[in-house]
Amino acid sequence: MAHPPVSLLERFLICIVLGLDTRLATLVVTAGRGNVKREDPRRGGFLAFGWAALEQARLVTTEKVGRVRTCKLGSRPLEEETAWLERYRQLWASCFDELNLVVEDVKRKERIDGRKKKTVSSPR
Amino acid sequence: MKNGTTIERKSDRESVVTRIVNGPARIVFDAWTKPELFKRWWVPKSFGLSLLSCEMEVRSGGTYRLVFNASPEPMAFFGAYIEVTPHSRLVWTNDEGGDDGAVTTVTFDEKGGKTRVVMRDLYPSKEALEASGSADGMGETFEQLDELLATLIG
Repeated sequence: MAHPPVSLLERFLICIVLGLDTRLATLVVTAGRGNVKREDPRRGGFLAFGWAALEQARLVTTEKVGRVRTCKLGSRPLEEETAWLERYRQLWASCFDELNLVVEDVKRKERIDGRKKKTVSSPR
Repeated sequence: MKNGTTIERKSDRESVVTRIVNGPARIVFDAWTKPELFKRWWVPKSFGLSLLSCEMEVRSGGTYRLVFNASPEPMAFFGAYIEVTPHSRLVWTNDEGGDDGAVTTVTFDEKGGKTRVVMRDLYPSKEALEASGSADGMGETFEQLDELLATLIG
């Protein structure tokens, strides 16, 4: 199973959902443009945080043989693909939860305004 | 009815997210097109990220620009509205990634005071989608990231 088509914005937000450093999210988005930005990992500790987060999210695997460390991305087993899809769904679920709150809030304000208008237009 | 969010992969170049929102299409549409409302939900507060600015010229041919407070530098996402039909349909392009960005179509369908929101991301071609890196395990994006990280880790 492959990933669903996801826009750069969605991928950016997914990184945030995964708890990845926004610097890493920026990097993912930049990489998506086919224009990889190079950063010195020792400056700002991007890798210390970013890489650990990626490993924790099991988005990457690393294997060290002797002095060579091999890093792989996006080579997760099938069940993790499903997990990824679920995270993507949760991302939108969170956004829509907030949307619901905003809509409820507007509805409530309209009800209050409606009552006010009624009082003004039909005085006893 | 449960207001669950569903996601479906329609084809190798299209995905669809569906959700029932508890309010009339008129208000839901406003929440997608008025910056002061849009800013309040597009990025949930729990993400620890916010929109620094949100400019929306909501009309066919109008443009939009969203800027997030990412570090080390803010990230901008932008595009143009292709179609704006009040309370029922919005279509916009996602241009930050170049010519091969997805076209997003959102429809609002009101029934009994609730609104079904269907949001689809359609890439111009399978090739465009692959180039964007989301077809196969985030494919090329991650391959490039992979290469970069390999050079950084040493």
